Amino acid sequence: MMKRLLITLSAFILLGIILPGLPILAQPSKTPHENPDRATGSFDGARLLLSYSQITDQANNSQYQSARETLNELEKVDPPEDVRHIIDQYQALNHDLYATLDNLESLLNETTDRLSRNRVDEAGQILDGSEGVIQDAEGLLKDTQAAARGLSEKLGVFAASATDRLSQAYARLRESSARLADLIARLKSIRQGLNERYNWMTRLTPTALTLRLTPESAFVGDSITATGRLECAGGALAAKKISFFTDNLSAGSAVTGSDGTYITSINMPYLFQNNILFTAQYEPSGEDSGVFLASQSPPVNMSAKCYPTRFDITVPETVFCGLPFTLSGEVSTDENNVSRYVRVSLDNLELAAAMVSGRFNFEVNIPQNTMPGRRNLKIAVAPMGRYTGAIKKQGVNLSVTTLRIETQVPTTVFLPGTIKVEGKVISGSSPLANALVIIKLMNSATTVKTASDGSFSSSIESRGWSPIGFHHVEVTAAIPGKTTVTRTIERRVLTINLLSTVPGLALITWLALVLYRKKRIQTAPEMVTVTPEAVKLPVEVPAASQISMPALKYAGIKGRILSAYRSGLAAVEKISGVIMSPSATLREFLKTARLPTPAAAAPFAELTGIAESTLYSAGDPPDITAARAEALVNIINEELQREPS
Amino acid sequence: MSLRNYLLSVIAVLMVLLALGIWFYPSNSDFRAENPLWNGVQAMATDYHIQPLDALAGLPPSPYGVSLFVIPYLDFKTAEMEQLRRFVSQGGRLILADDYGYGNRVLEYLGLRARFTGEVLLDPLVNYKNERLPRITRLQPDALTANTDNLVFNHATCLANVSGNESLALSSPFSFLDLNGNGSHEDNEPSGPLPVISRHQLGDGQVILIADPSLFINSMNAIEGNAALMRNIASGADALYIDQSHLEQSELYRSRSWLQKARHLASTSAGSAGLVIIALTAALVPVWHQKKEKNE
Repeated sequence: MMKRLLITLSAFILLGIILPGLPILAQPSKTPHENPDRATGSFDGARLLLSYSQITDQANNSQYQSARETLNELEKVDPPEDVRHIIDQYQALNHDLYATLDNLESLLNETTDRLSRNRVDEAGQILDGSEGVIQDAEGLLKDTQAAARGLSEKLGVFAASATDRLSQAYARLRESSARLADLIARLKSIRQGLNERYNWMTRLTPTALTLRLTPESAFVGDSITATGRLECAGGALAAKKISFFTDNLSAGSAVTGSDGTYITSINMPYLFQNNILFTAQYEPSGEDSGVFLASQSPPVNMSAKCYPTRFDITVPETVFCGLPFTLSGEVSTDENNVSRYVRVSLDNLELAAAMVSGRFNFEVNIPQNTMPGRRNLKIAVAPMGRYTGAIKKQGVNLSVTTLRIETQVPTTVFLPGTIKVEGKVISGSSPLANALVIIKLMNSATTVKTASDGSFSSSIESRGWSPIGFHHVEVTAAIPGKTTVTRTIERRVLTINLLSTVPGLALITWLALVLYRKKRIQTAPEMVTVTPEAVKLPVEVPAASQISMPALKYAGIKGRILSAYRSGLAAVEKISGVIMSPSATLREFLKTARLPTPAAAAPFAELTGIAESTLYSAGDPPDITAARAEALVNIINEELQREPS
Repeated sequence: MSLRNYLLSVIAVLMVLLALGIWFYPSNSDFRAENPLWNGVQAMATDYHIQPLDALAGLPPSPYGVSLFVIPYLDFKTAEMEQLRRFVSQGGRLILADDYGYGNRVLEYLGLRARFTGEVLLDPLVNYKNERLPRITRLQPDALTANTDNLVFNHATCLANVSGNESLALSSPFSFLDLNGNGSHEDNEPSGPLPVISRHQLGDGQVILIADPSLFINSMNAIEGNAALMRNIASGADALYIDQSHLEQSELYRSRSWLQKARHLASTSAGSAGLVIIALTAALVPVWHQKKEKNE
């Protein structure tokens, strides 16, 4: 026993040593990810301060837009709650500061531009406005520096435990902030210089310019005549260049004659507005720059004429990525139909362009990769000659071509009858209206269209005599107008045809009943009673004791008892039909053999006990025991031969 | 029972217990569709009916409308790369998600300029819990990035040689490639924004490069906009497959494969006959022994 225990333990210990070595349950060693649920980390304050210093450096290089965009990115940082508020404040101040500096630089650039073109009045106005902006920038810089200090304090820069990295990051932020102060001082100095130049230029000679246009109205593209005069306090200015503008577009130029007047033809621009404002401008150049100031004529209004274009078009409510759709419409004018250039674009993406005339149909394809969702479709007819352009803008649902079908089909169906199939067709994440849905079951099919919410409901009548079995309900949905783009799903249903199943089941049940009754009649007598006739036929059943019981070499009282047991056993084997096996003990046989009457079973149990005691006892039993055994055999034989009452 | 019989019984019981353990213990292999744990992709595979492939030969003959995920953690044979090239050029969409694997071998074979840098991308500021889980916030408007404003990567890398119009997602300006592995940004280390998702046309199909396959694992696919990205990928495909033949195999997976092979063998007629013979022999041996002892 001990030996086995030791071996078992050794086997377990051996496996315990080997198994961990075998990486059976181990993962590959180069796993390039961590469990995000268990991931931990600390907020990197030093990196935040370094990022602020980098952003400030961008501002120092006049990259205000980039600096603000980078600040926007920092809004996605998830800082600890105790510093979140001060970070938000610091970033808001920086946003304002960079916007102010950007504005200041723009104002100073505009001032420089106006002064270079001798337009001192405009330059003076801008300069006045820039003074307040400089003061704002100085104030914001101070606030920002104070906020930076407060933030750094929160991040532990001034604590004794501050790391070198954190201290260095703060030092760098301070340097960048100091450079920003230098930048403001530099801009202030530039403004001062521009102011001095402005004051000097106000002493130059002012000029005056007039403009007259004839006729007072014209078609777009037609030639019109511009006349006028340029003069100064000293008289007419000859040989000076005059430029004409409509809004900010150049419309031509002229040169003044010896009397300061000019006359020239300019074309009506293709602006397709009812009224167009023209101005004439004189800007001194060369040596004149140091003598005269610029001047601009009062604006002159021209009435522009053009032919209107009528444009009607039908746009589908839903279009699909990667699939063409058809645009139908009509372009017309008061005159004869002319070919017009039509451009179709989805947001900023040009989809198609074509020359059309009158009624038209043309196919537009949307690239497969276009972002799905609610998008703006623009169809523009380009202006042509005197004909105005026309634009139609309409929102469309752009869907992906992948369809999804959600259905509710019963799992078990009794036939004959109808099956109700309900569901929804979805394209991308939106329900698909007007999609054609075909439902098939066995040899039946039905067709239905989806409602505006993509839902459908239909009943299908099934045919066939298949009694019980699994069948597939097939649901196919097709994109409206694109029957080649479909999605099919199958749902398994258990169909039970009552017309064919019930008679079949009834027949099977009847057959089963008949067979059962027949079998019962055949087996019942054997199982119920043991007749005396059976007991009287010892020859048919061989004496089991003679076959299986080993020869017992006992004499005297023991021999008498065992002989009596063999007699009793033979009688019991005949009646019960159970033969004592060679390996069975006397007690096992007693349990196995079932005697029909308790009157026989009790004496046989007693006889078995006497026989067991005789076999396993060292000495001889008393004579009375042998007599009792023989008496019991007689009782058993009598009981077994008795007629059942 | 003799000592020999006793030992044999103990070993047999242990073998059976070990086999049952291997068979029923849930798969823990990275990126496998049958793995329900944090590092598997069972959730994605189930939600979007992605069919796992144990060999690229299992791809459908007509790849139009089919999207194939490849996580190239094992090297490719030339024939396999040719299968991928044919798949894409005939209209399929290959989603090559890699960080430190063999993605560049595929890109080289396909003739694309883009590459996975294979260096660790860290973002100490714009991140989810720590710098190794960078948030990707610069998403270009596209069908793939619709309905999401940020993604979360997990131990990612970035892409190189990707032009502006090919790039679909960029890391934040505060991210950087940790070339020397010290976790801090040095001056010589490239800093953000760095491209992490790009799209390339090839023949009639497309190649989508994603610089982190961990985006799709069970523990990541519901974080921030990752689910939307997966939804967008799925909505543009009629059928989705994931190649599992280029994933590293854990010993558990290998052992289970042996058991599966054994089961398959047993289900053949020869295998079944063999099993019957073994069972009969095992049953008759004690009888034979008893007879032998009786004769003696």
